[in-house]
Amino acid sequence: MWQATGVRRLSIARSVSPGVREGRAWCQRQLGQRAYAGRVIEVRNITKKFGNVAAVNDLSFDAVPGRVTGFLGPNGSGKSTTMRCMLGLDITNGGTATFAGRTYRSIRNPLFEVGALLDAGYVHPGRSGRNHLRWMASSNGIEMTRVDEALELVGLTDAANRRTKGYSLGMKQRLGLAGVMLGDPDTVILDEPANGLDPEGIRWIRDILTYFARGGKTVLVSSHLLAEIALMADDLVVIGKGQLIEQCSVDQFVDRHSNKWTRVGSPDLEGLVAAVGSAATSVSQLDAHHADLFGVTAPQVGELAARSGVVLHELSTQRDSLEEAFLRATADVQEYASNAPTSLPLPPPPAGSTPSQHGAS
Amino acid sequence: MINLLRSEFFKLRTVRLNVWLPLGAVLALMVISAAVSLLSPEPELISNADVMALIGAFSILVAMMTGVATSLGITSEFAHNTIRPTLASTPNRSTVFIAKAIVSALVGLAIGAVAVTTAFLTGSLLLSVRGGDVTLSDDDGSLAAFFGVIILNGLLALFGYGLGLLLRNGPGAVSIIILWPLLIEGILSGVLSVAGVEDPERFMPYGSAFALVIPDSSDVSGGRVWGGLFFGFVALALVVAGIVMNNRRDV
Repeated sequence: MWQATGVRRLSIARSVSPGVREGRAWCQRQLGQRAYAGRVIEVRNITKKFGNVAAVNDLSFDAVPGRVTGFLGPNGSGKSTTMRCMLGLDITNGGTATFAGRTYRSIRNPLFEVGALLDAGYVHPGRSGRNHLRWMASSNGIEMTRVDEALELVGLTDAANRRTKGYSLGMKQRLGLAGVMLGDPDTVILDEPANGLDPEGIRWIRDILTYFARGGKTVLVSSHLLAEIALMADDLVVIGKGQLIEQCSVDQFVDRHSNKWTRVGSPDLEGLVAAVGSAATSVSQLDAHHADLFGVTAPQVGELAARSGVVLHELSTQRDSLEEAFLRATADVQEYASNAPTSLPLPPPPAGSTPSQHGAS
Repeated sequence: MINLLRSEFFKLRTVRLNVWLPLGAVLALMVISAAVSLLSPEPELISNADVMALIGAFSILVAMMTGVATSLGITSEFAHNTIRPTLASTPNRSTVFIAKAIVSALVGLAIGAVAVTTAFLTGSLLLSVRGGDVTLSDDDGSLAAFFGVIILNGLLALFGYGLGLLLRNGPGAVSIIILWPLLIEGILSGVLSVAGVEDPERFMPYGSAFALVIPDSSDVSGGRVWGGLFFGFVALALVVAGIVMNNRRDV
């Protein structure tokens, strides 16, 4: 369906901060070393303006088959707008998005090729879940038996005949996913699919998206749940203020934007710190037997400890989470940055009461 | 296109309001026809044209309810954002909106046919029991009014859909459907009359269209054919304007 294209290109948007540009260049180098078999989703120079405000600005990225691509960005960064532009729901001010070389609007029965869920709330409250899927299936000539199969896949068979106004957000998400699965498409686009799902549901969505990707489908998924993205995504497209910040694998992204340090555990912590000496730029003691060493790698610590004959109970490389890496990477482009204190002071006790009285009441 | 028509018809009939609104109007028309047939003091004097005049006058309410239903059919797509999965399922917007227009018009015609048939049959049956005799005739205009009810229903369904597509706002579209004949056309014809326009009613789409359901339409300026064509043109113009506008806007 799609052709092998060799080295992937990354578009460098104009008017971006040096940090962002540097990040892109780094990822471009990394990606250049990886030979993808091909690509299905190609977004090229999409621009979308609302009045004078550019919600998406010259955005380009790819999503490839067999991998889950996480689409990340702070609130208001243009993720949902980009997805709507990709599907032709919003009229762009420039640029194209193609699926296996074709624009979405040129696909005759898209449910067989691209399954999209932009918002689980896009259902008529007076229509039953089954009927919602039936009109979708009917529009693309999908057999009605597939509706029941899809409902079973998402675990909504029992609630299928209930009107959707009685559905919880999680049930609506499942219904939306059933709609995505109707035509068994090669490409899946989901905007915040884990929104409103319970832990079981979140795990289910993670498993099913990973299953899709391992089966060769192209999966593009946006989410605010960074821990979930870290678990399910292979690649990342990170945007901020409508512009591409980086596109690379999750590991590369975290490597680039996170701090690394070495955690050690030893019955002779003092001896170990002395053995490492000036190799570590700083030491943070956790307890009597554990410490974090900065500026020195785990192999270096291991060698130094061996030379000095210090016993090690723990030696591991630590690094920031995807969340921390994401926050660091998007620090310049946060639309709605908060200044919440790290810990809030306790409110004062009521007038005339003593701490012991307050505690006893 | 067949798949799309099937899907749109399915959508329309799977929302209760879209079913109950026209069905209620159909039942109301039948009840009115039955009541007049039963309570009329001299049933043998009631003519074909009298029955059709009664049904025709009240059929305007059925047609307006059908227009409200088709209008809500499209505006609810925008209100609940189901227009997005609709256009994601069929990205060619013009095709989708044309399919919706066809389904709206066909549903309107079907409701009109059911309404006028049940009302006329009920009325004629009850009158015949009471000694009256009414049938549809080509001579007194009752047959033309019978089919006029069906056509008006189809046109008002299209009109409601077009208005809804253009405004994307349910309350706004419904208000206009109801207020247009009651208020807007009255004001407009008054203004035109003051401006010196002779016989301004013929330029009022709704008023002209009512000639369709009157057995003796000779006293209506423009007549039955003009009224139908004029209102049809207005309804079609609204649909085309709605399609052009929605092809250029975000959904």
